[in-house]
Amino acid sequence: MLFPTVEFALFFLFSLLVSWSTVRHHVLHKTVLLVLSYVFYGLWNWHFLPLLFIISLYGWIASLGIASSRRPRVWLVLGITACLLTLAWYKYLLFFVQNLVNLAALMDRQIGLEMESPMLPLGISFMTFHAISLMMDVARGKLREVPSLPDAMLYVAFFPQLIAGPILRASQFMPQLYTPPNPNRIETSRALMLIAVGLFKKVVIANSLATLLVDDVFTHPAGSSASQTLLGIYGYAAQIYCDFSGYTDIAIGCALLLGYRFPDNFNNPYRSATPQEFWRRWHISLSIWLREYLFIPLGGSREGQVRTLISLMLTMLLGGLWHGAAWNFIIWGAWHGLLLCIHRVWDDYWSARNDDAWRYSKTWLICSRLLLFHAVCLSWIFFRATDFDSALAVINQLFVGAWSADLPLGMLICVGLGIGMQYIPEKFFLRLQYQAMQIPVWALGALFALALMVIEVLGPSAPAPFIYFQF
Amino acid sequence: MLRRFDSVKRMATTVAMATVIGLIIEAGGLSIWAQRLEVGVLREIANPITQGWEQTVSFVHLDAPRRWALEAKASLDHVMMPEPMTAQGVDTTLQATENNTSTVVSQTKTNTTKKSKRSGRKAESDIALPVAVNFSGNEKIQIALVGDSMMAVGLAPVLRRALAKEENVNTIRAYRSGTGLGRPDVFNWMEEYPKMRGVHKPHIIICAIGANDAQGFQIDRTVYAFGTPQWNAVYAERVRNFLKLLGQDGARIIWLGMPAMREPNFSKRMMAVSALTKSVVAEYTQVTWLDPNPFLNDESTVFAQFRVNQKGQMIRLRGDDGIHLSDEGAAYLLPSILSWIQAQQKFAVQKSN
Repeated sequence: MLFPTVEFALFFLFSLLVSWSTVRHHVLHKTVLLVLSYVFYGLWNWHFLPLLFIISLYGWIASLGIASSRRPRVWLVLGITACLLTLAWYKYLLFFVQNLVNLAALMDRQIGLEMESPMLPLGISFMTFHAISLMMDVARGKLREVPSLPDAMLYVAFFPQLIAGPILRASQFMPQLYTPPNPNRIETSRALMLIAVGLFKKVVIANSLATLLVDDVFTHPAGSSASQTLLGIYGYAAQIYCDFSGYTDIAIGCALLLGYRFPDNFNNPYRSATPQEFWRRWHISLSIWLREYLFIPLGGSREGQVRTLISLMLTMLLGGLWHGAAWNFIIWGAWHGLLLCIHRVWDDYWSARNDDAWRYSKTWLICSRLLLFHAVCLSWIFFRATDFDSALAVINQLFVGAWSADLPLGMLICVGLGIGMQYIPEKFFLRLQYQAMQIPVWALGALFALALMVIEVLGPSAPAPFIYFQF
Repeated sequence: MLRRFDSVKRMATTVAMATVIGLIIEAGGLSIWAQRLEVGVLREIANPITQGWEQTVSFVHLDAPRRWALEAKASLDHVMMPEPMTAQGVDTTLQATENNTSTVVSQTKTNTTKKSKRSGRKAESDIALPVAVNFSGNEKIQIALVGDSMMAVGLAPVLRRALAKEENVNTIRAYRSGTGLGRPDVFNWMEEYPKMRGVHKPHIIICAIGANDAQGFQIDRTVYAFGTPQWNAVYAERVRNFLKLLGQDGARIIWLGMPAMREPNFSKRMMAVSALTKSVVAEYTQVTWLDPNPFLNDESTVFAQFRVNQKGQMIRLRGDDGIHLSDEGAAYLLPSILSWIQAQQKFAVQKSN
């Protein structure tokens, strides 16, 4: 069930009604949310419901073991291994087998392996990351008690974040399950604004860019002029931002209406001036997850520069691989790892010299923002292209294609909106939210309905699935 | 009064207000949604309700906001949205690959012809479709890629890249994911195809369609369940009509059947759609049937996601969904399609001589 559909609207209205009408009976309330979350997932493919349960079970059993056993580390390793093996089975096994066979072929050896990849369960990466977070947070003493099995199941399966995040850390979400949501503290205006903005980003900007510009440029680079290709690359940067941040805006808005709080997942990432800043603004929940559970256990930045750089590179490589079992994602991760490493060395060098006042000038800020944006766009080419050759073909087209000014106005507006909206001062949205808080409830409801109608009319007829569903 | 937090009551009032106003101003959109639902209980219930609601809203002119918005969008569309682009290019692989696979196509073609000779419909169909391809040696060859996501994913990118190398070839993109011949109420190919091809008159059409058609449909109040003789009769007639539309300017058509799918039940349904389409295609001598299965797997009706090539490399033939072709998978079909295209060019030259 996709967010921008009538089916989800009906499902969500029903969920809202049932969850708030049971809020006085806390256990019943949580059970209702759990059942609704399983129904939500089962409507996509009920065959994978046992998998959702099993992953939650891994997390819960390992958490119990960690909390009560004399050897918590063993339980932690066992639990994480079980989660990662499940993820590997569905997502990575065939990739490794394929590369093994191809490597053998390069060395003139033939390996006769006949395999079929299992169907990839929707949101499996998010499920496993939640289960791992549960175990890690119990091991680190960040939870006051080991959650019950139903609570652990609800944490992994809570439907607004189940398919594409944001990735909630257990220490962030579990405390919200200790007490029922407060029926007098619902941020309605913020929630509705997030849902409307999220739908606009996804349905109008991301879908239009995908179906009318980006798919075409990346499917057949040689068929586009250099200017169309450049617009297509910027278009993909805008598309993936609007697609993913739109999804999380809707998820955060829905959770708020249900009385739960999710962390922000995006904070105007294309305004970043450094790679480090970019990862503090882009897919924040994944960045924090990778930092907390991968970069720091690998040594973090306390073990000297070389070790830090190695940890950074490894974290980003694995972060790339998390997105998908393909070399283009690994290249994408490696590129971001390299950017982070270069920036760290550069930063250390200039910090040590003490004559880096120019680095804080407005001119340098603009230059570094432009530079970083284009470095990120370059990485998106590899992320979007189906393979390495296609990515090179897109880049090549920028140099061999003709430059023309006949770019479609609608696409220019979409790209401009997708990227430019990140430069709108935060004050503007706060003021908008402030205005929304002041108007009567009937007017707020009417405005929201009107916004939905405009979004429905402006969106292209051909839908495009959420990009992050495949991860 | 400024308030950051609301009570459940206030929130419920806001949501209820949004729902009521949304139901009024989005009555048209809801009606379209209900019409597009798969045939079943939900559609049975939703369709009459939403249609009745739309009529009521329209009667009291409360549908005006949506109508205005649609009119405003339509008037801006031609300024804002890109024109359908065409790709041009040459294909040097035409000659190189001809010998490898042309026999497969020829065999299929011969079989098709034999079958069509036996068919009582042949004479009627030949009258319905012009038999000659209309391009000459000097003219740019217009090749249309037609179909649903089976064309859009894998096949179209590979074909377009291959055809882009040919200077005298113009590729027309007339494919749309999520469509089919089964549900003209959702996407009517008979109306949309002429718009998609625009002013171009294709000489050659490569068509791959049917992946979304293994479902029931409703005509007036009658429900046609998938696979029943009545469904088969209606679907076959739609394929015939579509072929007549595609071939009305004398285009020569190659129709790609459905490959075996990973999910066994879905695969069985796809094979049924393919078999039915093949039997219709056999009625037309100027339409060639290409079964993709022998190219993807030696055991022709068994799904294969990978295959090992002659160099011992493992090649991914299908996407993760177990439905669509990967680029490498589509590349296995490419030589046959290209050699068929070349055969049509030769045919045209012979005709003009």
